[in-house]
Amino acid sequence: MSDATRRSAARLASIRDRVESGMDRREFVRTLVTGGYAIGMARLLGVEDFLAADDGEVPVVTALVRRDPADPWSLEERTAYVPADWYAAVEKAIELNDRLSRAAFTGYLGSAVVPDPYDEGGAAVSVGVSGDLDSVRETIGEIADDVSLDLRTVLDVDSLEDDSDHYRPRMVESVTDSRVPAGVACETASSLATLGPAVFDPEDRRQYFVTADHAFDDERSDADASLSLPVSTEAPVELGSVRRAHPVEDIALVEPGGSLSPSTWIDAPEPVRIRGQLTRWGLADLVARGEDLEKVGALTGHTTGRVQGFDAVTCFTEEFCRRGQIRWGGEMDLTDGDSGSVSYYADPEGGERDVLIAGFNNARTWWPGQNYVWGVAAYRVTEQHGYHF
Amino acid sequence: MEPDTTHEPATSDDRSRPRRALASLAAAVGVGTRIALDALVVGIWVLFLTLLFLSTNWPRWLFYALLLGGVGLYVQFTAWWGGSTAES
Repeated sequence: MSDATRRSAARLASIRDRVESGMDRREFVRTLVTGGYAIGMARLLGVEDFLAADDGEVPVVTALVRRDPADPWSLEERTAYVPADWYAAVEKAIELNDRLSRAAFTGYLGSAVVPDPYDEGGAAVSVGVSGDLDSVRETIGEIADDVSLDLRTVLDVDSLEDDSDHYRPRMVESVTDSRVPAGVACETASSLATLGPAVFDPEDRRQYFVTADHAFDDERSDADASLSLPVSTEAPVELGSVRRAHPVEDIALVEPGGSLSPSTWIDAPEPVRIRGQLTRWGLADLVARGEDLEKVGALTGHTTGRVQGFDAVTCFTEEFCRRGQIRWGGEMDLTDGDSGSVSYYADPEGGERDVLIAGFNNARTWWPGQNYVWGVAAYRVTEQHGYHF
Repeated sequence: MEPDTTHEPATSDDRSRPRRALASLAAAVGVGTRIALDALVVGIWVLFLTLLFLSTNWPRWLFYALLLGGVGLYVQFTAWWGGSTAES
């Protein structure tokens, strides 16, 4: 054996000794266990949510969707990735819109966030004012770089003509099922409205019928607070009476009192099933992609229209302002009696007939220059009261 | 004096049993503290990296490299400090 080989053999042995003493079995196990614990904890913290995003993209929650279509309590968040600059601009517009509405300067009638398409990467705040545009521009002052301001003068807010005589309400023909689908007429002591789909309250884990609160008299007695279902061939059927009324969101939850219960199906030409609801960013995504919403009203029936804005504030009809509203479609999409209907969007990841709820429909523009329907968004109702679809 | 000396071996034998139990209890406490300390240190490391990567938009591979590299280094260093594993 040469001297060199003996020396290299000795060196190998010493390396082996060092490796053995430096990294014994106990340490090896400890490294494995601690490493596993570290990865598990990182997963638990949800690092994949933001690590998985490409450069220049950020994750947003676009919808709350049922894992099991039949189980309303199995809601899960759905995320999507959007361009970071677009996200920043929309975020800025949301903040600005909120500040504008809280300042409530003279002449302010409402505003909405209108995201640009993704490739343009910006956003606008559309503001409706009465009176002098220049003075308003001065009041508002400087706006952030990526966010533009779109000022519209609203004329003649006081006159409202009613053309609901042209329509005949869509009534249930006969009560064959114990569940009443959404989109058909329902009746209060004083007026006709559209019945919404089943609304769930996680607090008491019950389901409710829902319709517009303004369909009921403002100063109603308990006897006036009942909701019934007109049937074209028979006498009306009692649905129940109002359990929770929210005048600002303009929704009234009716506890099922008779043999009928609410349904998660909407009575569209092709009936659709509700799989969940869109979030604020889900709506922003629809505006950016120029997508349409659909609705089924008791009078105007099934219509579709472009989403025009979200997080809208409207101060047109009441003393107070309504927040978290959606603007979509056009004036022809809504008339008296359609209030209480919901707007929805076909679930891109669900089954063929699955839809996601955007929000309720409450009123529409009746002045020249602007043309849309508005109503409280589902995300606002969930934020304020916890109810969901 | 006589009775005491005759009893001495017996008493020392009696004393060694609780001492042995005490020693194994100390060892168990030692291992328990080590596991708790490991969990705490690694937990803080994960939290630190998460917050760092949340604000920087660095790539995913770097996150896991730093995460596991940090754990490996930590185990190495604590083993050297303890000294017991290398000597025994």
